[in-house]
Amino acid sequence: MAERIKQEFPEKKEEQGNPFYPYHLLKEVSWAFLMIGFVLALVAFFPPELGSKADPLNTPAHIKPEWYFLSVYQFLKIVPRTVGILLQVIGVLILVLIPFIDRIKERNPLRRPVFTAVSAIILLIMIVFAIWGHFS
Amino acid sequence: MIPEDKGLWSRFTRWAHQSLNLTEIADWFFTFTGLLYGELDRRLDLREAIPKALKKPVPKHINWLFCFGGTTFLFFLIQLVTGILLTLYYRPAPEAAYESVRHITNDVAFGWLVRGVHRWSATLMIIFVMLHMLRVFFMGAYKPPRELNWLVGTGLFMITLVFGFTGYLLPWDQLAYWATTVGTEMAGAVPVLGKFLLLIMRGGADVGGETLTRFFSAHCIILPIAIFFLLGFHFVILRRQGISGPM
Amino acid sequence: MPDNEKESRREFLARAATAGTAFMFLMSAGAAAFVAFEYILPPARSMDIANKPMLAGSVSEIPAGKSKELLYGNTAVLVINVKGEFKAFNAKCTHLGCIVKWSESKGVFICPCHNGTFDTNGNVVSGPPPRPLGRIAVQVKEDKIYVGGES
Repeated sequence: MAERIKQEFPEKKEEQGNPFYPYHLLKEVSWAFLMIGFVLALVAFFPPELGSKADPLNTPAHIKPEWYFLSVYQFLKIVPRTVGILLQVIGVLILVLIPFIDRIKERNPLRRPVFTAVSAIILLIMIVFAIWGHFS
Repeated sequence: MIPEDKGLWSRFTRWAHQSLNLTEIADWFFTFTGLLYGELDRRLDLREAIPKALKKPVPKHINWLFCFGGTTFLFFLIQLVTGILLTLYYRPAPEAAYESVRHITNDVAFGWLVRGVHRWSATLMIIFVMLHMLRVFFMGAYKPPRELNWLVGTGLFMITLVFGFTGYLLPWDQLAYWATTVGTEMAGAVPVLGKFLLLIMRGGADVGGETLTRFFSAHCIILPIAIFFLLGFHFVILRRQGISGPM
Repeated sequence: MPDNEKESRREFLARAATAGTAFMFLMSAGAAAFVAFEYILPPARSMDIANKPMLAGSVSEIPAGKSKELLYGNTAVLVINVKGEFKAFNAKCTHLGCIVKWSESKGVFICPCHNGTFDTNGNVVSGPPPRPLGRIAVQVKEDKIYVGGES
């Protein structure tokens, strides 16, 4: 970090470790290859499906969005539409503006337990909703 | 700078460093292809700059939790390459889209692989961008002076989700069509702006050919340009501010 | 002409030129934004809903308790026969736009997406839909059923 920024926003002194090359480069390249291998394995064992062609006159049973929209989908299923949408918009706004809402100086999650607990509970609820949406 | 500990990994990297010295290899290579290195080096001072950039020290508190963002970028690069390949055969029209995806999967050499990798790498990109975000969130890495990069990051996150949403329609199968119908209808429920948003997204009253070309344009032109600039911004800010310090 | 007068005139000209450039830039940017916005809005043609009655089939085609699905303009329409009376509805669920199905055994419309159900008058019986199904006019002339248009 540049010196002037460091002075204005002091952080705990970071110990400089090993140079990026070769100690981290090798690790990162190995990780990248591992990930590429993982993708190839997924493609080999679970190739993506192609259902039947779209038919605007016929809604199939059990249509579900992609997994990352499942919690939103399940949430909208149980609350009135406008309320549900409004709550989603507010939720996204809070997430985007969190640096300006959360003014606690402390960064360690264990030393700001209320914030961490509330966030973890919200996260957990979203995961539960996604699983519920998947099986409903 | 050489680590003292006797772990297997550091022994391996030490060996790699000594026998496969990249900077030395690069130096050697450029010296032998002297014209390029000589001419370029005289103008750009690469002999200094390349090793300096490569040897930038990484802070000691970095652990595996810090790899999520980089991994997301890796999947983004995979998406870029496979996505460009897919556009060579894909046809964005309701009469042709489904058939062209079937053609890619069944007839084109390695088409199944390119499509499969694009599909799975998209899923993994979203998983890793979420993990990256959770890491930043719970470690409070968005706190001053890094607020701006959090804003850019949430923008990138949303672009990634819209990438997923628009890409999902393109195969034009039943699931794609109806998931899009429901998804756009949800956007239509936004107060005041809803009707307008729905019309802009669908290009008509219902999901149809106009929707497909719109989604194709968003997925292959608008969003790539947007993500390119935001990613550049994300990385420049990161480089200026450095990785968030130890807690 | 004194020097400082020359100077101030030059300054004025420079400012006028800057203002002119800014004005031209803003005007053209505004015009371009307007054109792009109008271009993005789809033309009315793709919003068309047919408004003339359309032949849906013959009376014998839909016995009591049965239904028929058809496309009227861009709208999916369900025609049902309730004890000899023909009714037609816009098949688009008012919740999130899925196409509802007629369930003969239960005598209701069921949306496959979120299990919203509608009765034979299109009113919501259960589930999340906020409004009844859209009603579409039906006329029976001789033994032919027509949907749409004025009733």
